[in-house]
Amino acid sequence: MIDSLRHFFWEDSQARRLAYAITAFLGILHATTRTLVFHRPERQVAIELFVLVLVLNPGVVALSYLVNLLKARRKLFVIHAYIKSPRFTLNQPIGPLIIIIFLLLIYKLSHFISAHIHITFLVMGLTLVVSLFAIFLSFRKDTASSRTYRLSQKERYGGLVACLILLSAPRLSISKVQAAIVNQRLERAASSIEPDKAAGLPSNQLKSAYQKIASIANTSIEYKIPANSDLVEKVKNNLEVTLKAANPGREDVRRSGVAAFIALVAYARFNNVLIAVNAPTVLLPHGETGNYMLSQVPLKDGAVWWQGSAQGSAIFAILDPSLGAVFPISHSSVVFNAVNFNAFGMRRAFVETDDESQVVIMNATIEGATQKLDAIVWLNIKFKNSQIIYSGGPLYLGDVTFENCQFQFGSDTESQKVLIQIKEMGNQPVTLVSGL
Amino acid sequence: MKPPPKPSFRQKLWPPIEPVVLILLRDIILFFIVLAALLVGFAGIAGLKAFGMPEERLQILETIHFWAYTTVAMLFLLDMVLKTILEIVRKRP
Repeated sequence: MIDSLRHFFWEDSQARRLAYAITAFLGILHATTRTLVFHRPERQVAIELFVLVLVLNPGVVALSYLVNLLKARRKLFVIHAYIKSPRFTLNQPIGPLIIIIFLLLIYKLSHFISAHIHITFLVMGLTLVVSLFAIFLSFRKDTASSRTYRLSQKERYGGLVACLILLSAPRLSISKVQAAIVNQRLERAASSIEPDKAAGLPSNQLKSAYQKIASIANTSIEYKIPANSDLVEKVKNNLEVTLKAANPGREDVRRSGVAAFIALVAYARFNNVLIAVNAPTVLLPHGETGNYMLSQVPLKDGAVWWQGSAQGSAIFAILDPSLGAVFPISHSSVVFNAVNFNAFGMRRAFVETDDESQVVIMNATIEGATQKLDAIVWLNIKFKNSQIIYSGGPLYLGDVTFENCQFQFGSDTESQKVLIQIKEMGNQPVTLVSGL
Repeated sequence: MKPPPKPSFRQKLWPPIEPVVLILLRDIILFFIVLAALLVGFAGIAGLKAFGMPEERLQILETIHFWAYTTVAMLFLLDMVLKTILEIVRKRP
């Protein structure tokens, strides 16, 4: 038996390759289905996959050999006669073939019928044993495989190309490839919304161009893809001029444009943090509760990224109104993603920024705070039971909801206009930019 | 009459191991080719991200890609382990 197995693994590479290809295909199919359809944990699927490979491999090797054997002897057409024949025994090729097919079927059926994994493993173990037995039986007769110890041209060139690809992989930066694609998309977007060109576009095409820009910005933010800052600024300027000049006559088109502009402003700021050299990322691990109590964290002259955990992280302000904002920011580019905030109504702000900073706050709930909106990009934010202050500065609200909030807005025209728009929306998400 | 020249160290070492090395080399080359194909697939998925492909579809591709890596690694390692075991336990002529 050892010699038979050795023959498989050391000599006949053609059949083994076929066996591996079939095993790999079935293994990937199995693991992907178990992960995506049945939502099984990764560790369990990995164990299942290992057992499956362990079982299928000898099974498929035996199967492929048996097929070859039958082909070689030109006896495929007499399979039926073989089974019916009184000479039919296990040491004839068809015996193990039927056993393997039967056991593989049992394995697949048991997998779906049985909710208990140990039964599945038992069946797979049995399959493994019988498959090995089948290999042994089928190789009692010499299969006369061809022995070639030379590498073919295909193998040589294929190996050379593979080695070149693998050696150049560390030098190929995926983020650079992605950045090149995003730059190209931004270039096209910039030309599509040039003010002269955009003025003559029908509403539908204009809306589609806006949506494309929003998609580029949102995708790049989501996957942290950097881009050429000048190009981002160019698209932003073109979009701003187009939004001011073009009058689409349709509210949904205008809203799409505003949403694209906010996404682009957020991306421009995001990009500054991404391309800043050595910009640190502050990861908030979930820990026991996912909550952190902070007094004050001043952020000065730099770039930093605060990232909350996937399960949600919240920062609680220490209950002392005299401390001011928890994050006073000056001369910095800062991104807060998925970091919730609660000040328990103690008149403390989450962030306070100067005119020279670029701040993006996204995917968060801000509760019980006294927060000034000016000069910060707010994306997908929910303000609850908070006091909202605005005094006519640059305003970027993308899908921002105000729930049970008090508004302390300036008496200037812009502030009052914004207040009216926010109140009109009630508890619905607001998307607006001051001056547009 | 001159005695035949003594075989060099290389001449003594290489002939017995040549078939084994070539068989292993063939498997390693095949593994490298599959690995390179998976690497190209990885770059392709990263490119699709930049092109803005929907997250749900990307998740499917990423899952397939991850399990393809795992399966190929398992197959290669299993093959190597079995080869080694069989070489150790085989009967020497």
